Amino acid sequence: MSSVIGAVFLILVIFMITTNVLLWSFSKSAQYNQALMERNEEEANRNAEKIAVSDLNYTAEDGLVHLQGVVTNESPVPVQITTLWVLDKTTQKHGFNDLVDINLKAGDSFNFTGSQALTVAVDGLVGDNSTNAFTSWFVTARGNLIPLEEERKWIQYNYTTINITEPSGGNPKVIIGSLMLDLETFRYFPYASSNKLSNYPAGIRGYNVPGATEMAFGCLVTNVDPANRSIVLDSHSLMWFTLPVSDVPHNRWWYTVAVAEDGTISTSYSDVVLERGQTKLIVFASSADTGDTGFSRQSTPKGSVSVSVFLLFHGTIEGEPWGQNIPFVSVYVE
Amino acid sequence: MATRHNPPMARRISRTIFNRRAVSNAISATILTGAVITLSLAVFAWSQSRSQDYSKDFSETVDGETAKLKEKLVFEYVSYGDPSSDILAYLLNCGTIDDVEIKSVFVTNDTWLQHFSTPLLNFLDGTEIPDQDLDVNEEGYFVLSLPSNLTSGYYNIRVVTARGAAFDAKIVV
Repeated sequence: MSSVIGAVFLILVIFMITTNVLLWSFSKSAQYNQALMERNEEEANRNAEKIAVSDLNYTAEDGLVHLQGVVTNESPVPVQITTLWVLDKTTQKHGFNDLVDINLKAGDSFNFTGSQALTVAVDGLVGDNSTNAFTSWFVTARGNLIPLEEERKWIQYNYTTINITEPSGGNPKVIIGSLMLDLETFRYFPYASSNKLSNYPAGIRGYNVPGATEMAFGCLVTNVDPANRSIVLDSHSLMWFTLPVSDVPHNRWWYTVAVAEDGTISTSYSDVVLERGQTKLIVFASSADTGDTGFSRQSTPKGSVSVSVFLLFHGTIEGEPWGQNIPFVSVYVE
Repeated sequence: MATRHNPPMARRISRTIFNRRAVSNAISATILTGAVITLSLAVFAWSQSRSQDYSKDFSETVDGETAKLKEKLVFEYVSYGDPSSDILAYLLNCGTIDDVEIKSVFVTNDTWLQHFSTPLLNFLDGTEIPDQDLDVNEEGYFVLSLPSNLTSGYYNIRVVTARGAAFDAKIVV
């Protein structure tokens, strides 16, 4: 009898304890798995967040940076933007606006222009800081950092002696080494007279160039040197047309020249200085190095051929010898 | 006659004491059963107590791990050198649990390590966070004053929370 009772008790004890522990373990395991699942879902949503900012424009004065643009939620999940950060790369000062509260459903856009412009106070900014280089990013509620388009437009259109505050317009650009070139502002200049360019500095925008015609070319070049060094372009810099033909003499090149405000090409050359962040229109017009032999006009090759255009820059960077070759646009010589 | 059928008292007592047969099957079974029940209850109670201890430990571990899993801190921005040899780290609690306390911060590179214990947390407006933790969607920053300027290079900043979660950021000096 006692052995039966003992056995029953033993079974009861084992059953109760085991069941209790097992059920409880299952419940805890389920709780942890639930948390893990939620975490994975959050991570998936976080990774799915994708917003794009376009038409970005900065203005800066007296310690305030104003940003205007359009932000679009390109992800399938709703996005809440909570904070905007701005870093002044010139002064290495930063600022933020944590009162931003932009909620975007999937596919929604928000236009923060005009009175809706976003403002960030950045320490150390005094007066007009339009030449400073800024970078900025949004912080979303899920913890994503979304960089805004590109850095503050580098373009301070400085056509040699003419200052034009023209927005960059987000044209495609190529950055190689310390220089950035705007691919869509390539232009050519027919001659109005023997040494005067027609329609300078606007020129004719296009990629179809008359063949066998004396012509000059211009492109916008920006100094984007990461080490903040200034670049000096000397007279050995040139634009090189390479033709898809086997004989070299068909190639053409135009040395850089100095041009006055009215489009008159100087017979001598003065070095072009590009400070960090500065953009200048560089004109190529001479068949000979103007620093050595003076200016002489150059013709385009005979027509009906596509040519690749290279820019060969030469000079100094922060006083040290420097040279750079950049593949640029291609044009069709008519 | 009577004396022949009824032995004397002394003899009866002696027979009772020195009788080798069981008193009774029922009594012995009862005693044994009682002992087994008592022992079983004792074993049950002890097992229950042990399993409760185990459950408590396991529960704390699981709860701790679950809470740690819910923690998520993001570095919104980390700056160095403003003012000199100070690191400013701006954080956002984008997890799903409140009361994220920062227990330690480590600044390291390949050959060097600097440890900071419970740095002072401030709101972004510069006021001190009263409870010194970050609730969900709360932003804050701390300042690490380094004993000397950092040499140029790549540094890792690791924030360790009171629950044991770790979050990293990198800076280039």
